[in-house]
Amino acid sequence: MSDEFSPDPAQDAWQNQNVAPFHMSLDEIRRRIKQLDKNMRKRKPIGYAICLTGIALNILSFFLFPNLIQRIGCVLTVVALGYVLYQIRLYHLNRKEAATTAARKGSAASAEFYRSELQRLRDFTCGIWLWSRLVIIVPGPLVFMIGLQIAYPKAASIVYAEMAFFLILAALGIPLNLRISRKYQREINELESLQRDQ
Amino acid sequence: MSNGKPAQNDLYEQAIAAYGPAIDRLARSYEADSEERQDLLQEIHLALWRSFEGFDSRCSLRTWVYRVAHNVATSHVIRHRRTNSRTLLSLDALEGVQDKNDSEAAADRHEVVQQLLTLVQRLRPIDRQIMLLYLEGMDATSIGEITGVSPGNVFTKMHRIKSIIADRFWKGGRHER
Repeated sequence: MSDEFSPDPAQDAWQNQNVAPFHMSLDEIRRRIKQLDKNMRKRKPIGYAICLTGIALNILSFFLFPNLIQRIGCVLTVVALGYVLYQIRLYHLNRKEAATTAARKGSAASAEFYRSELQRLRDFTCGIWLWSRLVIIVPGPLVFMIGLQIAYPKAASIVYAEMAFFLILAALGIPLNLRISRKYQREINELESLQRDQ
Repeated sequence: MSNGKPAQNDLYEQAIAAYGPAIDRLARSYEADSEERQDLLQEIHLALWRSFEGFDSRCSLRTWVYRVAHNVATSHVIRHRRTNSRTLLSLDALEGVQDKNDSEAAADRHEVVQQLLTLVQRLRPIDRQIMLLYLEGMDATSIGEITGVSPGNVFTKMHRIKSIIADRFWKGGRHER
């Protein structure tokens, strides 16, 4: 029991609550670990599916639209989505590594582990990760839409509206990502101050 | 994959015998959904068994078990952040939040546990860990060792936890202390 405080009835209630006991035999553990490793290799996050669908659609558009500028737009978009795919892969590899670290290292204090997780989340939403994503993603669809406007001048107003919508969406992504990264940073700062003595 | 050294198996069995119920309670406080909770428990058990391959006795078995369990549970919380729209709070913020049934002191032990679970599940991982370890009856030094939070800060947070609990559960004076 806590030596700085008198026994708390809440502690007593908590420790004596009815919880169905969970049990796994050693054989079951070995079998599940084998299965888990197999599933981890197979498991692909949803971001992969979105990027791969985008890549497939752009390859299809490349062959459907004869206009050169539109085709350049398709190629740029495919390259951009390939880059996003790479970023997602890197992000998940880092996450997997962190999860493995958590599983293997009882030597790492919880605050330290949580801080590294927050840093990884923060980095994904700011700095080079964010700006490179934007710089690479924005040109492809814009070039494609310019090509579309040249191919179909009568539909210019619709294309311009689409371009404006796309640019606004991209621009909104910046403050949104930065806000999220600031939120993580605040939590990191709080954790660091908790780790230090007062 | 190895079948596990005898020491690894022994350590795992020793840990589960000593801290199995505490791990069950921990999982309950990290995951409200029973199916997800079974997955989390399984994940913790697998992580523990794996971790004992590298157990170097530089800290106690208890510290090791709680660190691994909390780290796995923290990963679980982070993974589900996007699907769980509820904002997690710090202890400071929680102190100012008024609950619907705040005015009535908890009537029985079951209700106290339910309300404690509701409280704990609203907390950010590090505050949640400190509160859980406090509820498990640990002192500030042990909590500091497990979480990596300085003893002074743990002490402050423990005082806050005590005051939150007192405000919410025993203020009405109906519960016998």
